[in-house]
Amino acid sequence: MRRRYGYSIGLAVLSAAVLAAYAGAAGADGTPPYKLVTLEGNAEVMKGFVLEGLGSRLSADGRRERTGSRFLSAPFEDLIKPDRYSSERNQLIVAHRSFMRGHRQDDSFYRDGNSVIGADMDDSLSSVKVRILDLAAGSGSKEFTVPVQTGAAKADSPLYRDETVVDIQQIENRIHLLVRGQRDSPDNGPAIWTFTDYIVDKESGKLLQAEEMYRTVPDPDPYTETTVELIAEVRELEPSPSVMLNVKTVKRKGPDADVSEQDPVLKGWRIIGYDYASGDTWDLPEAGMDRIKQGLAPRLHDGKLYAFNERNAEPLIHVLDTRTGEPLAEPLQLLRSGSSGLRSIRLEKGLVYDNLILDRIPTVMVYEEKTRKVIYRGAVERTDSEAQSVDYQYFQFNYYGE
Amino acid sequence: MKTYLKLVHLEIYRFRFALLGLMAMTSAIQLIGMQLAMSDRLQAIREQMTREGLSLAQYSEKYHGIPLGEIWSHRENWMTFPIVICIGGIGLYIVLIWYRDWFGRSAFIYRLLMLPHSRFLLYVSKFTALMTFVFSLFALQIGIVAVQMTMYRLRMPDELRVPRTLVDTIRGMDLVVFIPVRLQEFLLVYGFGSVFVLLLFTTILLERSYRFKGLLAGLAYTAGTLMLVGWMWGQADRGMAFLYPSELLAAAIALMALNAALSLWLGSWLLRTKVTA
Repeated sequence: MRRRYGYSIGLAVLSAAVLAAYAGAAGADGTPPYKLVTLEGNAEVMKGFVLEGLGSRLSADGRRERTGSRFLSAPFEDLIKPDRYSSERNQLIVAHRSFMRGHRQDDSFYRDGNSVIGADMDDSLSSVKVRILDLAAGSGSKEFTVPVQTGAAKADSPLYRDETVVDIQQIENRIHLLVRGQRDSPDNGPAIWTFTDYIVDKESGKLLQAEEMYRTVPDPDPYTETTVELIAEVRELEPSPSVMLNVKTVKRKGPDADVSEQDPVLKGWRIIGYDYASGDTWDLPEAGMDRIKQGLAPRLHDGKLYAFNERNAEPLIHVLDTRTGEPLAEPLQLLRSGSSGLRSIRLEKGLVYDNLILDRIPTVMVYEEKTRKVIYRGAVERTDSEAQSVDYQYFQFNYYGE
Repeated sequence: MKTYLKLVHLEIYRFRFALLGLMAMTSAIQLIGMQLAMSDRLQAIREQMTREGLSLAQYSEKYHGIPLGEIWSHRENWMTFPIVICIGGIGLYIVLIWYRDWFGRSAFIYRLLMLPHSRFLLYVSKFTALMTFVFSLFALQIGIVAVQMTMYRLRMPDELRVPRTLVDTIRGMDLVVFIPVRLQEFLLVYGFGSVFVLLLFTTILLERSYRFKGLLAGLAYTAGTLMLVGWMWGQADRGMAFLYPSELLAAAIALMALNAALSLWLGSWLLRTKVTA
């Protein structure tokens, strides 16, 4: 009997044995051979933060798990893939699952102690759907539609047009929807940018006012182009009294110019501020512009303008007044990274998180902005000498929520 | 049970030469490919060391080690081609495992349908045999990677070797799609694959029962199911759907489970009442 069926039994038993051994090995491999160890300070400030690299996700409280190796199930993740500050939206998905249903990818969200507000431009680019979750009263959510004035743009019938709600703020009982418009100029020249603040009554949903904060003035020269970058509060959900724009005008040489002359030449550079409450706009004065022109990236956080360059080996973090451009404190000097370019800096309510390579090892330093003290230092360690070394490996620093 | 096992054995035995052929072809191509890829890589390293006047230690310091996965990627076609052939071979046999009984020598189906047992055993035994083929190829692939790791250990100089476990090695290869390292992925890949086999079985039995009309109905049923699952995948990727992605996954799994049950029932019913020799 056994001899007669030997082929089938052998095949099945051998396959089952290999599969069982593999299943055992794969099961034992669930924990990555790395951990994030606290070298200094209190790991409490790392709550909710993770380091991700070499197929691992590591927390300062000792939690570690494997990442990656997913293909079929990869799109079936309820939370948005964390990238810098974007993962804060995941807090809303976890806390207000019903409110966020079908709206995970909406243009913009705002949250304070009393309400959560979400807004999304409709596909026809003619109105914004605003949804409000009242946290204080616990009375559920309401929504209304705000028409946006795109008649002029329609009349131009540009080939390309886009409108996005890039920021939401609530000042007293008014909701401010900052809408960024982008479209081709009528004569097919460089893109025209507009930033309009639609002010809406929170109770009635009625549009009270539309304040155009910025509009690109087309240059008659077709090779002169203006780019506009929004500088909003780095933490998407946090309230902010103001917003800023980084406006650069560059001139390119015509197609007949030599290749060596094709690099764009900076013609003008402004940083424009806008105060939601008063509707005031202003240009960042020279004092601030001079610092930013050192090649620093401007960031808005907690009502202050930060300027730094993560790519510098030893970055200086400048903290400036958004209106005067004057420094609010001495710049914060960060440690030299072992590998330029492998660094990320995150601002969090008086704390500065610096993710860098220190002495070859992926490290996180947390500084208290006010005192300049290091309140946490942690590094990635290999727990299995057979595993790949962590030397000079970049681990991404992300917020995953508590 | 005994009849079922005998039928499974019969199906496995009938495919033995084809299966051994697929196994031999996969092993030969993948191992030769690995050997060639390592020779190419070592040759390139030697040339670079001569050009730059580096010792092995200096080269390793400057360029770090060479993991097995990186070598594999240099001759990726040699690795994936046999897998594609195996999938194609098994895919073709899903159809042939039924039709050879009708159209093979001496119309074997006469004897099978006359067995004094439930005809559904035929269905289940053919399915079991196909799953045995799939998982034996799966096991073989794990074995081949283990042999490739040994080849790597023997040929790659210590200075350039990057130690990895078997699971870690597979994780670093495209092969991970066919040999998942996560249980969830394994269940999805092979679960959905099994349902696909059942859908094709149903299509074949519909064709045997109602000829051309049955074929059309079966193909429409299979295509409809796959399109619905594909649409769910698309919705999850878009991120704007009413259902959360995890709910869409649950719905897709439920749909496939429902289809598996429907296919099994329909297959059983067709064999019992409609299929004739």
